[in-house]
Parts: sequence; C-alpha cells; structure tokens
Amino acid sequence: MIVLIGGLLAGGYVFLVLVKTLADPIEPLRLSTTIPPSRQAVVVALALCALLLGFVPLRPSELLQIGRPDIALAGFR
Amino acid sequence: MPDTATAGGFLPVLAIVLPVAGVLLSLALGGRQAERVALALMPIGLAVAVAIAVGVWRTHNVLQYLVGSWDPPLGVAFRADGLSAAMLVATALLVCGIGLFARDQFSSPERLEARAPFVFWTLLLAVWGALNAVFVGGDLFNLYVALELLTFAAVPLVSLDGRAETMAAALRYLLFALFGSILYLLGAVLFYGAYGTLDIVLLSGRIRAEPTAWAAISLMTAGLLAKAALYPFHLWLPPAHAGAPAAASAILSGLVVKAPFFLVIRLWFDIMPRMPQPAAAQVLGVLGAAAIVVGSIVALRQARLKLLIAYSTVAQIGYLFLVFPLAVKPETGHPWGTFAWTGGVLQALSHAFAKAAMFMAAGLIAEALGHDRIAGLAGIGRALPITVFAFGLGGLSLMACRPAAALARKRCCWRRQSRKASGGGL
Repeated sequence: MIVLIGGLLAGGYVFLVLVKTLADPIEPLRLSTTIPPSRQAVVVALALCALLLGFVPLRPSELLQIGRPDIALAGFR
Repeated sequence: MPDTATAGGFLPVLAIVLPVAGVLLSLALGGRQAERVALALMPIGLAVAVAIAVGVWRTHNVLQYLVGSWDPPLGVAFRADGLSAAMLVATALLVCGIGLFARDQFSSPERLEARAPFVFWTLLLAVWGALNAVFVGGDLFNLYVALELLTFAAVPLVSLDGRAETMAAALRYLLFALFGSILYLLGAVLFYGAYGTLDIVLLSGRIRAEPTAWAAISLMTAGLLAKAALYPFHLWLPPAHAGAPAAASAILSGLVVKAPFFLVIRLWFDIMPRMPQPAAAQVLGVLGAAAIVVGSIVALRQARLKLLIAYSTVAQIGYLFLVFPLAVKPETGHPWGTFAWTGGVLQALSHAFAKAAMFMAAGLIAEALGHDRIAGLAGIGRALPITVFAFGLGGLSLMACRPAAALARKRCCWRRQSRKASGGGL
C-alpha cells in the first residue's frame, strides 16, 4: 500500500517537472551557456544504468548472499 | 567464513588505499594536478572493484584481509562479501561518471591554483576511499573511522561555492552527522565492554539477547539513521544536497547516504542474525513509510528543481528502510534468501544511479538557464532534449522499482503461505 502511494507521488513530481520542460515557452528561451553533448551523454549513461538495474530479475540473488552468515547457498540454486 | 586471509584478500585493502594515496598525492603535487590524479585513478579503482566482484563470485566466498596477519580480536579484518562487492562496483562506476561530468565544471585553470577544483577533486577521492572503507570494514571501530572520514569529506562538498546559505546547510549537516557519530561510538563502546571484541563476525557469535546488546544496537542504529537522513532526521538533507554543486550533490545523494544504510544492514543482519527482531524492524519500516509519504508530498510542493530532487531522496531513503520489515520475518528463515532482500539492495543501487543522473541533469539545466525554478523550465525540453530525457529516465527508474518491491512483498507472503500450507520448512 505505502509502496503504491509512494510510487504514485514519485510519478507525480517527476511528471510535474517533465510537463513543464516540454511546454512551450512564453518568450523564446535564451541559454546562458551551451552544454557540451559529452556531459549530457554521461548523465544519460548513468540514468540507463539505473534503469537496467530495474530489469535485473527479482529473485534471491546468489551474489548478494555470498558471505551472509549461516546460509546454505545450495538451497537457492 | 574464513578465519585467515584469502587469496585476493589484498584487493579490498587496495580499494581503500588507492583513493587515499590519490588524496595524499594531490596534496603533495598541488592544486592543478588534483584533477589529473583523480581522473587517472578512476579507471584503476573501477578495475579493482570489478576484480573484487569477480573474486567473490568465483570463489563463492568472502575476500578477507587481516592487517599484519593478526587474527581478530587482536587484529583488524577487511572483508568483502557479495553485498560489499555490489556496492563497490556501483560506487566505482558512479565516481567515474561523476568525474567525467565534473571535468568541465571543475577544470583547473592552467596557471593559477583555484580553490574549488582542488577541493572538489581531492574530496571526491576522499569520499570514494571512505565509502570503500565502509563497504569492506570488518570491525565496528574501523567502520566508525570510515564514517567520520566520510562525514568530513562530504561536509565541505556542500559548501564548495562558499555562499552563506550553503555554509549554514553544511554546518547543520555537520551537527547531525556528529550527533550520529557520537551515538554510534557509544554503541560500539557498549559492545566492546560487554563482549570484548568489535569484530563483526566474532560479535555475531558472542552476542546474546540482553539489555546491553539492545542498548548498544539501538544507539548505533539511531546514530546511523541521523546520518542516513531517515525521517524524522531528514531536516539537514534538502538544503545540503540542493545547495551543493551538481556533481557534489550527485555524490552526496547517490552514495554518501547509502553508507549509513549499509551499516544498519550490517548491524541488523550480520551482527544480530540469530535474533530476528520483528518489533525493531517494524519501527524502521514505519519510519521508512513516514519518510516516503512526507518526502514525496513535500517534493511535490517545491518550487526549485534541486530541492524537489533532494526531497525525493528523503522519500527514497524511506523505501530502503522498508527492507527491514519485509525481510526480517522469523518464519521466512534467513532474510537474505527473500525477494525483499534482493529487491532492497537493487533499490539502493538503482536509486544511487538514478539520483546522481537526476542531480546532474538538474545541474546542466541550471547551468543553461541560470536558475532552476520549476516554473521557468518551459521550453528547456527542446533546448536540452538529451538532458531532459536523462532526467525522465532517472525519474522512471525511481517509479519502476515500485512494482518490483510490491512483487517482492507478494512473493514473500505467498511463499510463507504455501510453506504453512505444506507444513514444511525451507
């Protein structure tokens, strides 16, 4: 329940910003500097990493269990 | 868990020594070289982190290093397990990304020595070293030192531009962090007095359910919550994270708040594995839930983009702490076998990348426009489409983990139910 509420609220504030950025400006936008594409590419790369982590299959991960005390790894293979 | 040093055990130590050596080298060589030292160390550090992960994966065991070959409790151990390896790799990747991003913002002028770039690059390495020390530390006092290093490296990053309000935010952060350190240290002292060791593995064998242990672990947890900015200790976070330069905000929001969370996991899942505590886990879960609601609602009402992202961090930290009530269930056996455990760790890693990307995107937007008022963002989507796309991707992954976490909970319940029905255990 709380997870759903939080997800909705997160969607709310992200879309709030996205809608604003995609709106038509009242007066033409004047940028104070130009942003090199390489810096933008770094940001996209990190965002993609985040998104890809979301696609990692959600099951008890073997790597994350290594070294936890008292576990039987074999039980989960 | 091995009692002696393992092959490849030097790697966790190398992960700490490399950035620290970089800091010393930067100090010795002077301001203009700091950037080059940091950028040169980044691929090496990434390689070390990947080597640790591969080592842990292939040996299916902990990489352990005993300083001076002294066994704990006399000596100090560094251990890298699966969780540490995942955190180390993510940290190294993020630091590399942040370094590439910051090259333009904090490039050192050719001739004169500038303060901000020098401080930024040196502290970036210091934060990296401290984070690695938190992830591989095997001893509560060592972890305390790592936490202090992290605090003292992170606080100046907040006030890098030297404006009065960022100074105030940095000082408030420092106060909360020191308060947290003192509580943590008090807890560590209680543990040492009661059990005569601070080594995590030895402690987990000696600890008993008694008032001293409860007092110690409560003090330490409270201190770590203050550092992790879990509601209601979140007051310092938004001004600090929103006031810092974009690259610094990315480190602070993506990585630095994960270190105390990681230590809370170490405390509750490694030191106390034989004492699953549903009541304590519920308290952490309720605080997490409160953080989600309060953080998200306040984020919706922000007028500035960076403050919005900072409040979103407050909410996301709440999500991380939901792992405690979901994974600590006496009847599910070991918490790390549950979906919630994997989901919680994935959430922490994914949030680190997403939040760093969002802060950096906000930084680019602010640089281009000269401000970051949300009301004045109209049209920027056309001027900087890639940046806005990255911001959206980051936002998407903040939301996309929800179904995963919800599924985790359902699966947990389902597994419990089915096991009850069949009458058997794992």
